[in-house]
Amino acid sequence: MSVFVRSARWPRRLRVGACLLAALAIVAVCGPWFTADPSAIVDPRATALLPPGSQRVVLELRDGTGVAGEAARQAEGFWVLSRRGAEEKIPAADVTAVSTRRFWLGTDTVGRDVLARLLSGARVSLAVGGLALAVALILGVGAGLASGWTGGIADAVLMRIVDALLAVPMLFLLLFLAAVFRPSLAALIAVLGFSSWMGVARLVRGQVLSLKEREFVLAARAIGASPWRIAFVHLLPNALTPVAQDGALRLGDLILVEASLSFLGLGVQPPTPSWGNMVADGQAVLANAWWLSFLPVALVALTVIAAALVADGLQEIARRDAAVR
Amino acid sequence: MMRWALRRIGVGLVLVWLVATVTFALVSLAPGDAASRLTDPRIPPAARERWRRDFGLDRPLPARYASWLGSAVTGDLGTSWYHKRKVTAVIGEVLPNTLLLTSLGLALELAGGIALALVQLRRPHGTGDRWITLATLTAFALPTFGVALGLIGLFSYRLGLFPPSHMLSLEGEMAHGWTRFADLVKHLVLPVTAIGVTGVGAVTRYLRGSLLDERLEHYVLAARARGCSARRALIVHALPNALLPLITMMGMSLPFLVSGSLIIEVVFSWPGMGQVMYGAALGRDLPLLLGGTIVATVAVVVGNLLADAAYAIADPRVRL
Repeated sequence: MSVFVRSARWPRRLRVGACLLAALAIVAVCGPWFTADPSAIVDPRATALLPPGSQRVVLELRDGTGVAGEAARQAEGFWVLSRRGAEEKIPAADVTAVSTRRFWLGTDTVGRDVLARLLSGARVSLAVGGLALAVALILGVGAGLASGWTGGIADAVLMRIVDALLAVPMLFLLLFLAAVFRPSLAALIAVLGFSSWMGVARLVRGQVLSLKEREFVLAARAIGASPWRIAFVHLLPNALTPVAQDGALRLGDLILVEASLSFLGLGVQPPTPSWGNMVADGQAVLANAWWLSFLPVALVALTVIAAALVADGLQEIARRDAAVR
Repeated sequence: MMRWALRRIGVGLVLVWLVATVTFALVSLAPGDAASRLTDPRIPPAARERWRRDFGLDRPLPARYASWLGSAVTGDLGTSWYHKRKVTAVIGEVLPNTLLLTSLGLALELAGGIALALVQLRRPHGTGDRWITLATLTAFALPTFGVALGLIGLFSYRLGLFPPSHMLSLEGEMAHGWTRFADLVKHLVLPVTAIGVTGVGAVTRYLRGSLLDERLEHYVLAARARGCSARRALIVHALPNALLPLITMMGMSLPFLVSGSLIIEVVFSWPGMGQVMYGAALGRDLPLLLGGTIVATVAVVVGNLLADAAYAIADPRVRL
């Protein structure tokens, strides 16, 4: 009677959302293998702020650097490179390779390839969101189980802690932590995870409280199952659908928070690209380079939509289960 | 009721104290102190020492905590390192700006959410419903800064209709009466819209779901059986009940009223709490950070209290 029973048909929203999330994850993992180095700056004079689809000729020089321009032709032992209305002569002997390069999604203010940055930004943003969710789920499920299953003093203490933490204005706290301790990726994941497990704990506790009165728990106890076994083998699997639904919504939330922090300059630090800090870079040139801000925002939105669709679908399954009972 | 209120206020006070203490500890144990803000190497060590003494940083931590707590209880949250003024004065100056912005934003979000959900409920699962569902899902998923930048790009840069930042223009600042008010309204349009757009998704999605459930309840069927029109049954009978849980949701957004949408304020250079706190975080202005956090925590506690009380008044089934 949960998502993981094979005979239960997944609602369409769940299928669409799950496919989208899977596709995003695959693109994030594999994409960067097929694109250029996201931090490579070819030649800012010719490749800064190019709109999507632009193409430039790149001459690689003997000293390992490169120059680029709109067109290049060979004349009398020189390469003549035209760049923004001017021409530059480069001795043919210095040029080791000539290639044309297309920037499918344009370039940023210093001439880095936006496609490459979006893809490796996807890795960073999804990894931070996903791992922070894992931290929150482990803490929340642990605390919720402990609190609901054991009851008594442990329950009272844990729930007061949850109440207290829920009253802390999280955004200010995140701001403060991020400002005082310049965050590494690991610290960012930890902070995001630690600031969002309380909701999970409450949810799991509620589920456990209602499940533990049911007959199957009594039956398990009657045949001599240990409390640990009942908690992890009987209670937890039955609480999975609502927890998964909450987790999907939370994933979207965490990705939004990470993007916001990085946008404010307090999350993922440059030069590591993340969707949030890419928008911060593009903000200054919003009026004439829309693609720098629009594309990362669109990807954040797509991810959150996918997560919300998964959550909706899971809720539908939960409702169906409730109707069967 | 009275006993309940007293108990809740007591619990709330303990909570505020706990948060204040933890934040104070974090602030005090963070590497670097006020003197490390004086980065100019020409400042002589003696002046540094005097500066530290002026801010009371030369005393041991427990003594600092005691005197800070003592004055905090009397409503004195210390002196901001950056603004060189009382923290309460700084917060008091920007809080009204934030309240203006966020209360309008919340009102827009609520009104828009109710209107959209009612339109969707006219023909559930019809074409209109599907499109609005898609739109609200997108609004829900868009990051706040994305909406803000989109509005600025479109309405300020492309169309030139509204100013992209600040609360008043220079002329507005100098003017009085009507001109000043008109200038303020012009500056309010984009940030309020941004708050409304980011919030309307959640409200509409929630309200649509609960209206769909509520519609099938017996009391609604009974109203229909008495000859009440579908529209009247929805708006007069089902809507108030569907709105009940929104009270809790709104109580939870009271802290948002106070702390402001930090990102909106930063993007629009709105002189409010969020922007001041952002500046305090970047400049490590610890007394101000501490004070702002406490004010926001008080808002959370009061918000939850008011929400629970309002819920009990609106729904007589709930006993406190």
